[in-house]
Amino acid sequence: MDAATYRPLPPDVPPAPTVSFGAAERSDGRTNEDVRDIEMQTGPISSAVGSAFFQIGKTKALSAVYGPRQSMRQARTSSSGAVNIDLKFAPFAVPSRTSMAERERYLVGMLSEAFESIILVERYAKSVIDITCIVLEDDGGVLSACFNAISLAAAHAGLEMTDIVTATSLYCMEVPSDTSQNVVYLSDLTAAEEACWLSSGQCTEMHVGIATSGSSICFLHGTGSLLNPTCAEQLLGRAEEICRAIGKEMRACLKAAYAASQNAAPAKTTATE
Amino acid sequence: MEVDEQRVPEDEQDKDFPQLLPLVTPGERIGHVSAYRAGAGVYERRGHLYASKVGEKLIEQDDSNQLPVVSVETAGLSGSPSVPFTGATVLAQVTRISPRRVDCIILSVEGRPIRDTSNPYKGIIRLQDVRPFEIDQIDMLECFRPTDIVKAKVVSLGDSRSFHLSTAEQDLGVVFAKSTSGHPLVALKWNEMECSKTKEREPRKVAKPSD
Repeated sequence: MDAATYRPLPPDVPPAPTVSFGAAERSDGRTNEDVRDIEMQTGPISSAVGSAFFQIGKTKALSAVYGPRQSMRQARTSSSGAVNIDLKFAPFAVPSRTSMAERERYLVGMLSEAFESIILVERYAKSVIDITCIVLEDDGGVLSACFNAISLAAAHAGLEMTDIVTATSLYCMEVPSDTSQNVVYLSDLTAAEEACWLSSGQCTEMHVGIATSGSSICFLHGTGSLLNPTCAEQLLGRAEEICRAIGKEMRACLKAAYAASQNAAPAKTTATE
Repeated sequence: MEVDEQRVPEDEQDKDFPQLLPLVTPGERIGHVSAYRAGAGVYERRGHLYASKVGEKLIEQDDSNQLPVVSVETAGLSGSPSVPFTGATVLAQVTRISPRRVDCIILSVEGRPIRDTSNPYKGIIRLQDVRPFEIDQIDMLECFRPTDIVKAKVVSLGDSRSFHLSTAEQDLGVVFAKSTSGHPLVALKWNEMECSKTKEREPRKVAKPSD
């Protein structure tokens, strides 16, 4: 399994003009709907059946897939496979020295449920699939970064699944203003922004996982008042746009990795002859 | 919600990788049930066929009058991990022998190696599955020895511990074994093998070598 790094090329179309929703410009110079730069790589861990690295801004997640293999627990006689997800924060992932155990459990619960429905578990009778994910750096949007890393690793491992599912995080909040347009929508907050906005208590956050070719929502997690139905529509519309873009790049990355693995094999045999 | 404008490449080559068949990723629509039958790596939803893994799209037409089979193939080690299923031909290595059953670990399924060997799939060959005749006269030690490589068929998913395997066919049985002196054995007849070095004969349930 050769590691294939894949960097998306910059888009040909010029970026859309900045639309101001009345909020101050963001600290890193992005517009409200801009997503941070993304980098993805397949096969960084050669001992795993499939693995992937996903980076958005400074948030980095590394995922590996082991199995399918026979279940360790002998009592399990199941006609469908089980998916075990293990998520850990690296000790250096966050600046503070607080324990991440509770947050890890919280994230694992959500990810497990999502991936059990995405992976075609009925094709893995009597088997378990172990997925590990490690957060190397947390700079906001950890849930969606882990989701994308696991999605890419599972596809790289050749697991049968319904679709390439990608996730993104979106936020909206009401900003006191004289103008009528006073709801601010933000995409992909950094840790500093998260701390600033979420502490105000008025912010609605939404994490969405979308099956990119079927356009169905596979995963939805939100907190906050959501303000009104228009906001939900806005957020989901944006989420679909972002997830499709990530999904497109992920497919290109997987195809490039597959082609690279196929080309590598004949090259090796000619060298030994 | 379905997207109807998704394009299905009709040509037999991939645009980006011309030496390969068209590459597909999970969720890509690759046909309709009225035109194809679903093969490996494909699932059906609401009449449409979708790829379920990364690989090359392959359309095969067999001699029968049925629809062609569309499947997603992966070549080499980058291929999809395999799981034993009922009816599959597997290669297994014998680990333990008792008078009524033989325990083994499954090494490959349908020619594809099991990639994750850390907790292997286990299989058992029960006395009644060793051969189709004279079942009451079988002596397990005259059929298998530990470390033998056996070609077998999965008859059922078995109990919680292991798959049930069968060698009750002519071309199933021991395909590779070593004699007591440690040299490879060569198949002589259906129940005997000969050491390639010492010419000593040992009993086995031998798989009929393919021509």
